Amino acid sequence: MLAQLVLRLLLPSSVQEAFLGDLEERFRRRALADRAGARRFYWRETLSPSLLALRREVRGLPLPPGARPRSALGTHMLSQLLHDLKYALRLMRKSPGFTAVAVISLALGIGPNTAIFSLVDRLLLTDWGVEDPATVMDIYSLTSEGEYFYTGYRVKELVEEGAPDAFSHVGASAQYTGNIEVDGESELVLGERWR
Amino acid sequence: MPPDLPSDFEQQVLLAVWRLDGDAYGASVCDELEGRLGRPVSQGAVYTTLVRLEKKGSLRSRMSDPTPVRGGKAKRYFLITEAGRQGVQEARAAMDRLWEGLPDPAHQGAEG
Repeated sequence: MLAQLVLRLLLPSSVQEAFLGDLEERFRRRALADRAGARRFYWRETLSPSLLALRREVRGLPLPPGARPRSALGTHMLSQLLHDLKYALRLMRKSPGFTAVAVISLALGIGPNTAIFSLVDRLLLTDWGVEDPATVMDIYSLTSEGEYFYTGYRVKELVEEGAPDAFSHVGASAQYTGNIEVDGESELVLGERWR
Repeated sequence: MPPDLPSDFEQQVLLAVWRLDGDAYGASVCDELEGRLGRPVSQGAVYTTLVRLEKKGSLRSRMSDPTPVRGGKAKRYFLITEAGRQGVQEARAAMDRLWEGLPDPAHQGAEG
């Protein structure tokens, strides 16, 4: 459970095991009557500001008799990572000018790079699935005024029947919007069909 | 109030530990307080107070063996010390002195 991971990071080792055990005991008792309410209860306790006061209070307190010192490597690495992150944030706050220049440089560097790579990827690197993309033709309908208009599926059939040797493959696609309803909740979706 | 007297919430926690008499650990103290005060209490606040009272010497604690009911986690049992009992009794005596001899509201002039 995510809340338990947050608590493991927040709670000092001298109270961690007992605190988590007590919370689990109270959670289980509540879950028997109302599981959703019990989850809300667990998160409320996890996000309670009183945990920060507890951290301050426990600082430097020796372990009680019978307590097992925490020595798991993963926990140590997590707390070290948290420590490093806090240190980095403190340094950034101390020199806001440098932080702003670094953030803007990164944003300007990463943004256009991503945009350019997306374009190159689509145009040069992606395999279109055809040997010679220059031979791909787009067939569409025009109104008598020369404007684009919807092309019916029958047009695809007519091209296939009337000029069977003109194209190796003929396909048709259509876009549509519709409502999908699941369990009484409906959502507008955009669909695409290819034949 | 002299600084060595326990605060209101510290008194409530001390009384709960005293009443539970050997069976006081985080969850049972929270239940005892919620049952008697009629309002929810934060486990974080209760633990903060338990730890502070232990540092002051009003409580002492020991860890139990792990219990399977709590996912194999041990309980931290708290016991009230003589100093804790004395502190909470002094706080009560101080409140009693403040209550003592208050004028009867029926004989006081109405205000507002």
